[in-house]
Amino acid sequence: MRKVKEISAFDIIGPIMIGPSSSHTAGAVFLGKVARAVLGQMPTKVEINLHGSFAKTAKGHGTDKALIAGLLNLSAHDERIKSSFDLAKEEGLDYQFNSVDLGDVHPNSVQFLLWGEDKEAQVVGASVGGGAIKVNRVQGRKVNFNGDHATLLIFGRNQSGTTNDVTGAFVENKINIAYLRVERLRRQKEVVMVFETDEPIPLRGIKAIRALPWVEWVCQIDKIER
Amino acid sequence: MFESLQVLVLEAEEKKKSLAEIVIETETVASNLSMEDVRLEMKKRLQIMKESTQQGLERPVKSVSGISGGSAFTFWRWLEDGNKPVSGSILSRAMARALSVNEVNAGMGCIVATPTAGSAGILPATLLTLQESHHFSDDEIIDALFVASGIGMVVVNRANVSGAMGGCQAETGSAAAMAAGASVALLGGTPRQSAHAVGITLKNMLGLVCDPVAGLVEVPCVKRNAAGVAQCFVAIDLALAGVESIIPPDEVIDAMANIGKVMDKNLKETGMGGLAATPTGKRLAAKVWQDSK
Repeated sequence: MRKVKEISAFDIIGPIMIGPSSSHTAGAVFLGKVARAVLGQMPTKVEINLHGSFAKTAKGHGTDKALIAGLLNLSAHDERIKSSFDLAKEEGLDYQFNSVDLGDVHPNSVQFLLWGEDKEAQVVGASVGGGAIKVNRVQGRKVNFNGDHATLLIFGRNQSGTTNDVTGAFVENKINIAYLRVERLRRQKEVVMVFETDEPIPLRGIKAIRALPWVEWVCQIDKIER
Repeated sequence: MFESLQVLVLEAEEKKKSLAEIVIETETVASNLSMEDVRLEMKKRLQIMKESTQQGLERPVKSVSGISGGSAFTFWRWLEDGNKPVSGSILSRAMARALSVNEVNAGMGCIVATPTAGSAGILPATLLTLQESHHFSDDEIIDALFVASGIGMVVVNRANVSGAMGGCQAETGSAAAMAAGASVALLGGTPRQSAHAVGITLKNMLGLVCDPVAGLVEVPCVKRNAAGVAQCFVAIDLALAGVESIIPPDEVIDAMANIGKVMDKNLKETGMGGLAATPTGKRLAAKVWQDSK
């Protein structure tokens, strides 16, 4: 028997989106929104490095405008995507696009280098079709998530009991974990955790996680609204 | 959700329900939403469809790249001037609306992907033109949209709706098949007749390649949406008359998947073969890439 995919009627009749391409426009907005969430504040300067098909057809597909729109937190069906460059100027976002070769990555890949008032961020991701995205790197660390759930990223020093420490905060706040990935990096000295959850974890939960002695960096990214 | 049209049709026949009822019930169970909420969600999409089928008729909409645009406006004005289209008044008006949606799409306007952005014109143009000619209510059109989504789910489960994976047959072919099956249901056909409308439409569009100039969703995508409407109309009338696809509709979908697999990658949305590789296609692409720098 063939495996039946779990899809909704609104995956077929939808998404509602600004054209022309779900991968080059809607997906690009979503990637911009993730980058903005990782920075955690309004970006004042961004360098956007476009790879592959993104570099080649950015202007014709409006990918450049869509990426900026995402950074400004517009939705994928906001008519202002078309004029996002003007909006960026009004909001004081200084942007620059470059064509780059990011190596052996998806053809629709982009790297964001972001600066805010007192924070910096780096995000690499790809638009993989139909508006779906994959985020591959955050702050230089390898990650893997798609924004279909609320996502909590935790980077810190590796020691025993780290996963337990964090899941405690989830239990306390009655948050269901959909997916969890834990990786040890750099000769086991560093831990990278990606939690995908049904509901976002409330601020007090994040504060509790941030207060853990081994935790160095925490970021929560909202579920992408399609 | 639905693995075959056969299962979908059998369920409707056994329960003595419409295809729309079966799809809506399944959606409420899967999403945990009430029937009212599920219908409301579709109504939102219908509203966007109404706007995008209209915008390109009222003014010439140019694409962001500047390659294409304005054909819906030109064609609509020609119709409004009293010219007699050989395709008849219903089909010609539907064609104009399909052009409109895809021009709005290429101009960075708001559309509903049905099932994709590149094929977004066919379903709304067909249903909204039938609404105009046959005076259907919005609720009846919403039912038809659910029928279309049920058909789309079967296509996604057995094949795909991606030009990069299956060529244009998978995008405009699937869209036209969805529109045909939904229209037959709307016009009072049986679930079985809807399934055969899907089979007939897709059969007639097998092998269609995805060869967009400069990789953009414009040439030939915009006009292929008008052509998809015509294909869908052929199947609607045949199916309503009781003509059936000799190859069962599910097997036609499987054939589409298999053709997609053996289709050369130059002809699957890479912008490297077919129309994209013509001298004019290459010249337009070079201009777009120059502008991108």
